[in-house]
Amino acid sequence: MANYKQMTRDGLWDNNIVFAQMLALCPVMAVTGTATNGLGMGLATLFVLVGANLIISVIRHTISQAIRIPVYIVIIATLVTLTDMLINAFAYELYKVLGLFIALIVVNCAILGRAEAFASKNTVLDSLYDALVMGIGLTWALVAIGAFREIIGSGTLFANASLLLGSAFAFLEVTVLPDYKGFLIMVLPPGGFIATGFLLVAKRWLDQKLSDKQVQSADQPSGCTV
Amino acid sequence: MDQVSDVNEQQTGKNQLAEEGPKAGLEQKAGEEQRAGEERKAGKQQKVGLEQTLTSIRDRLDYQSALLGIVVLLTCSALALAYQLTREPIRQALEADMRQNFSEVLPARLYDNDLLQSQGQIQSPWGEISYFQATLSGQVTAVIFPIRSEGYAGSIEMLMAIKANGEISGVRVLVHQETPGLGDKIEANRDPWITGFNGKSLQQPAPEKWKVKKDGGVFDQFTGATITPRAVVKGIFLGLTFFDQQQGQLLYPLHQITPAGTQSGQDQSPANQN
Repeated sequence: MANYKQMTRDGLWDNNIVFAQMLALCPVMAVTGTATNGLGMGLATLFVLVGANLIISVIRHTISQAIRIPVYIVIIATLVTLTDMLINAFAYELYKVLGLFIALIVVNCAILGRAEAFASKNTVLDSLYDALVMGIGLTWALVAIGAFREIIGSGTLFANASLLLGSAFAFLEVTVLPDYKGFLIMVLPPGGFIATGFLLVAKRWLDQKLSDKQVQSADQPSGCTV
Repeated sequence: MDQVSDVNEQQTGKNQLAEEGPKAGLEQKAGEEQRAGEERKAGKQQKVGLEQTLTSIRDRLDYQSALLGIVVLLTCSALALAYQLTREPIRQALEADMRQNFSEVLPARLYDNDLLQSQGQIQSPWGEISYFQATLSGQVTAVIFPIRSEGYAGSIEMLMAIKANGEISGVRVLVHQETPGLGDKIEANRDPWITGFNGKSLQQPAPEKWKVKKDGGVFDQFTGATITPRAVVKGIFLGLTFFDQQQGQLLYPLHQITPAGTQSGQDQSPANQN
């Protein structure tokens, strides 16, 4: 029986696709100019991830080892194309922003990674759950990087969120720093690297703090500090 | 790679265990199964049988080719179906987008026709383009066509509407890769700069004044970005020149409104013969 608590922890934090596995960095850098774009890309990837894990775990017994990679790729590519068509047809404004990057999902090695490492060996239910937490982990990472870049780069947060989520979510659009002149480099591609770097530092620092605390509370003085 | 093959071995090991498990435990389970009822027993045996068959044929070459073929067939069918279902909404979204762009460069009072229905093709200095004629009660009032110019970072695609008298009705930048925060002031929703071209023509200002102020012209450049506005001004000037040279074709009615339509068709044919 799978340990759902551990899986949740892995997906959201310990083994997060971006901040721990360091996968999927291409879309991370490319689309996270704003938090809204990060959210859109995260949700699109989540959709593909859940679909891929579902299909692959269902047919996992029929796939032979030798041809598993082409089968996975064909399935993932199909799901990506479907997502692309659906967004183009039913969320055209979002498509104008994300359109170029949706095709990038197909080379997102995180999806192939989950298919190979998890869905091909586990039950349908477990694979679905794994895809869900991994996808949510990716989405929050993209939103975090996008928000970081957006606040520093242009002084707003969730700009154009109503394009993505409908006008009901217009309240998300906040101008954090009024009359802000903007900090260009954070919006440009280098900002993606800088933001990801800083957030990685923050996560590692937090992890270290937490593990130190655990060691102290267990009353085991650590012999060496690495 | 070693790790992967280890995992594979482990997996095959597991599969073998899973296979042997039911066989070994068959006698123990026999009592249980009798109680569980005939139908379920049959189902279970079938399932085990299926898995055994799968394991035995999974490594055969013909099975693998067939599987790959089936997967590709199924995914292609899914894509074909989705294409059929989304084609119409996508076309509508594109059209709505075009209409939105048209409404920004040309005020609604200047035309009463469906612009997308009066579309023509023409050869321009920047390639073959489609142009759209605006008519008001049968009279051509304006023409809309795309223009292109090389900016700081790649080409800038614009849409331009010129009234029949040669005046610019409006210009909008559709696609560009200019620097965010500097060059992107050419977008109408960031800066009103682009609306400064409304009402301008080849006569007003004079052709030699169709430049940014830095080059001795009349149009503002942006602080920190001269190349982008220079490219836009150049593109618009080229568009005006193109209109000037080709206005015979651009303003020639593509088709007339219904009752006059047949007449104009008759009028046209002798003209062509001449």
